[in-house]
Amino acid sequence: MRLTNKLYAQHIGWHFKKHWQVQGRRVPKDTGAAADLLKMGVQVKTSEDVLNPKREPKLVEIVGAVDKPIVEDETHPNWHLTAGHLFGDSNVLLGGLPQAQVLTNTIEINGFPRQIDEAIVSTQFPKTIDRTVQNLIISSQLLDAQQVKLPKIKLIDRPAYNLPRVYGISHERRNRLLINKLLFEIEKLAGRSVTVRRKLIDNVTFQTSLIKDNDLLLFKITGDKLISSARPLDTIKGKFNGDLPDLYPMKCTVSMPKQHIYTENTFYPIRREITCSHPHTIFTYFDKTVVGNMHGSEVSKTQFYGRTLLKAFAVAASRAKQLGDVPSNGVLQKPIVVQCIQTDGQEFHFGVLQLNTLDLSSDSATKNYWFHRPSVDLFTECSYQTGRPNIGGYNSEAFRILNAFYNNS
Amino acid sequence: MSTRWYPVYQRGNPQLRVFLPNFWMKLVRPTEDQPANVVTFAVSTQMTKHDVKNYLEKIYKLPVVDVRTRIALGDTKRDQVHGYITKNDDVKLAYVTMPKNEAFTFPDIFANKAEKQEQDEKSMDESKQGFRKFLDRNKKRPGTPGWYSI
Amino acid sequence: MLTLRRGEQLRARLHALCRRCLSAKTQAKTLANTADDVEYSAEPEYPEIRDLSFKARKQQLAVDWHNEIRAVPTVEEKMIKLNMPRYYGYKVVDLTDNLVPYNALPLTQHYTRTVLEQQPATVEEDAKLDALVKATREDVIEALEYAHDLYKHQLSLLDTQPDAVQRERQLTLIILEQVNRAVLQALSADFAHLQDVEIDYNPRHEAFWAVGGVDPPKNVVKSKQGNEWQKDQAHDSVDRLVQYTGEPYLALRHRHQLPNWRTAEESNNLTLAKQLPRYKFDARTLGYCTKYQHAVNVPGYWPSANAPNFGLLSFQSRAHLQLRPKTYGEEDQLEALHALAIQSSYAWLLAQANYNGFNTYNELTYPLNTQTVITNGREWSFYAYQLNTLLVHGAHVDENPVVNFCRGTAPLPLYGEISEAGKCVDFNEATLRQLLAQYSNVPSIQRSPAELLPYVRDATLRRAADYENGEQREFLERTFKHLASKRPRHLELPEIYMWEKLYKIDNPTRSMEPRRRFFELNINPWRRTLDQHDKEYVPRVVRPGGKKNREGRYKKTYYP
Repeated sequence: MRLTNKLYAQHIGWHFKKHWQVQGRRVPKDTGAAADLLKMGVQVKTSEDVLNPKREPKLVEIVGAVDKPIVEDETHPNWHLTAGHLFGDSNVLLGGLPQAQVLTNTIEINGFPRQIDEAIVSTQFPKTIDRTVQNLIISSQLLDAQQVKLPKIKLIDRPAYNLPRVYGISHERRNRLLINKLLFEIEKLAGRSVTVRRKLIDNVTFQTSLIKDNDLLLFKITGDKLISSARPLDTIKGKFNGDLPDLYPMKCTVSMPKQHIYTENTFYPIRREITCSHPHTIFTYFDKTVVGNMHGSEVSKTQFYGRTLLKAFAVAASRAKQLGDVPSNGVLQKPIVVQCIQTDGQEFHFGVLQLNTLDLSSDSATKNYWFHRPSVDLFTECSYQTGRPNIGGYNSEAFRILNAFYNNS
Repeated sequence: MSTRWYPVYQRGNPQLRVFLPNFWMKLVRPTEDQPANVVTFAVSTQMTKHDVKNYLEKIYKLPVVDVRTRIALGDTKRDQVHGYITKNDDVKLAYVTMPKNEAFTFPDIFANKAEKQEQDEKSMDESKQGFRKFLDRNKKRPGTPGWYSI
Repeated sequence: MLTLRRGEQLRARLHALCRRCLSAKTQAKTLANTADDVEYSAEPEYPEIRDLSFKARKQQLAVDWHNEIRAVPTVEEKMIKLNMPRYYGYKVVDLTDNLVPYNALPLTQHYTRTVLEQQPATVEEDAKLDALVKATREDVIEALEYAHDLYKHQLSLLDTQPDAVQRERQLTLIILEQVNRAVLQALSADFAHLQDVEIDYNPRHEAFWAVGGVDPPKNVVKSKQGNEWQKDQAHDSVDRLVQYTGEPYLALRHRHQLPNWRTAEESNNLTLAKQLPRYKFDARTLGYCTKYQHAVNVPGYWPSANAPNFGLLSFQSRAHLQLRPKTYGEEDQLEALHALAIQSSYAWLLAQANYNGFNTYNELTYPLNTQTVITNGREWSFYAYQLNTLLVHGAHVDENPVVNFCRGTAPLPLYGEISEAGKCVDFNEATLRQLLAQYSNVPSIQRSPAELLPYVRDATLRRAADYENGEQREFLERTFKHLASKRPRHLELPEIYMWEKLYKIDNPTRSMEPRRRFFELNINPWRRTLDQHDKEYVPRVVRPGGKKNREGRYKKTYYP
């Protein structure tokens, strides 16, 4: 059978159609009438224009149920022409601790200030304390009953492989419980005379901005827990000298994302009129699913350390700016001392920052001091092993340092 | 019924007042047992909880505490002749809670239904009786009309 | 029916014959050995005559199942056992701590078998408490002012303010953490028990229980009315399963129990039990929802050998009460607070009881107590709860003479307001005194493990972690957490598509099609039991007993 329909040659409809197709292709002869009319000043319109005038589609402004987010472009009220370099909660410095030192004009001193060192060595603990701390680690890391979907686990060798989704305690909650329980234990040991002079607050925000060698640095961080005290921490006695590391060929602001939308005001979570407003210790959690390098590579040890320093610096700087007595050369009359502890629940990094100057330029004579030791692990593993909660490699060092930090005044 | 459509309100629109909107409410007997202070209505699907509440409060002056609504799926039915399926429209059911000391009992509209039916049957019986009597009387003279009598 | 009777007759005759035959044999034996006489008694001892009616047999089945749960050795296994009948979970009434519908108190009292009493707003005069109030007053005021100032300052940073409920939650959490810390520090010198408390921050509290005395739903009534022999039972009340989910701000736990404030005699009162309100209608008529989920009982932590197991104090949120319409009225607001307190206290205690081997089907052997505070920072209501019984299911709702008790206060303001300058105005010492009275309530009751955990095997086997078999421990731990995590099941519930409902179920129009779908094969997917799944495959490489061993192909399961 034929695939095409039989053509009815005598079909009148077909002929009409063909006729219209042919006629439609016919180009009208230019009679010169239009040109003549134009010469006489008469406007010529095509029939198309008269019959189907072009209509602009009318845009309807829909208000919607919720406010539209402000567009983040030049029209934003906080848009600045010069970009600032941001240090936030989710980025680390590529150069790690050396870069952080250069950025904050800080010299590194390995080891804690003398009074803390002494406190770590001299403090006597009851015998049961190790057992107690191990129990509270287990109760915060394993025994809490929260069950939420945890971040996806990816195998590096088999990136397309979908592992079963793990449910458990979220990273943030795990750390919150651990720190709360450790502090509760420390406060019990410290006694009322110390604890009334401290206050604990969760989830505080610090915000400040500083100029370093024509670059604007923006700090916008959150502290997961802040211990504030009635009296500021004493200035650390002793003279410390050192040089800033050389980053060449790197610039000190490398890997800090540029931002055009920012405000230059300073925010410190407690008003200065309140008695217990001095920063004492700041806790920050390190969650590797949130904090990472710009290009997704693993956070190295030195980057981890650098983050601790910058967090401490942001707290001290925002406090110094809040107090408001910063002279023009940036050197503070009364240095501000802040202790900082960064943890991922297992690894603890302790550091003490003394902010001497807010002048970050490379030729500044005064330097800030950063006292720290390499991080310590509270334990090497804490998990269910064949159905039993198990903690391995418990190290009391972290608890001792934490206790010394808390009692430092 | 209104000649205007009731437009969907979005934030920022001028408040539009539609007089005589296409709103209706029908008191229905609940299928499951309910507390005495809950009344069930079938309402037009466009009505919101606020509409139901205002309707009852403003027009009937009823004390309304809370309104919960749901949309019930209409029943399907099979055509007896051709076998195709038809479906009734979905309807919004509003469960109106009144203060807990109030009580509502669904009116028994057909309270004297049996009585009426009895009456009907009685009159039917009487007329049947009459017809039978008439047949009886005319048994002997088939084909003669009814009026042909003494 | 007739054939059955006939069969039974035959069987009885056979039994009699056998017995006679056996006795003849043993008689012969007794001549030789008289020691076997113990098997016989002068009076015939017959077993109890059992009611063989359908209803009685059903009840017996239920009792047998409850006894089976009681006999299960460990706490975790009991929980798994409770879930064994359902792969996709039970249909439960969803009670949460963020929804209290209008007029919820009668339902709450019925579901928790609780007698509600008013507690006087003032605590009796006590010199010690006075001294405490004086000592802590300044600390608490400072904590309040600090918290308010902090939160106000924090909000000033935000461009868009969080909604009112969110604001209340955040502020109350800050206030509670500050006040709790201040009070604990001030009191811990005088009260040693506060040194040993464990504080849970936003813990997860869940409880599951069964409630009897609820009217049957329409489909049950209809199906029974369709059966001639079940018609008279069509309107018998049925059991409803209830799941409470809550997240208090803070919860304090201790190793010992709080003292009881009701004696066993006072709790055992049938007339009081009969006076309890009964909410016979479906909970959905109030505005509660139902959902499908596994039975979960969690008092904030997983079962563990040395965790403080008994609740001391919990702080509940009332932020969601702001969402209730104004039309509900003041009186209902107060009732809602009571209902919230009863539900949360009962659920927390039930979950604690679960970790001691009890559950909704296995009765408590000793009372449990807790204290609950509902607060928004300014208004505080204080409650004390005593859990005496867990049996609310089936006929127990009518017959159980034991009741639970809750006593509470109306909301009391802790302060009038916080002034513009951040100062606390009109501080109410009576409220602080109530709060301190709850903190200073010393948990003093200590019980031996055998008394605490009567339905759990013994000292060597209380929790799944005590099993010798590592594989079994791991299996139980995994299964228990899986049930409690509420994650979706691996095999999804089969779906009935709309067209199937229209053209296959409601109107059977496709009679010529092969019947392959589950609803055409008379399979109820909800009836699937927990262990009806493929066993986990063990690869040849790791198979115990060599590669060729076919017995170890699948991992063993250890369902109770």
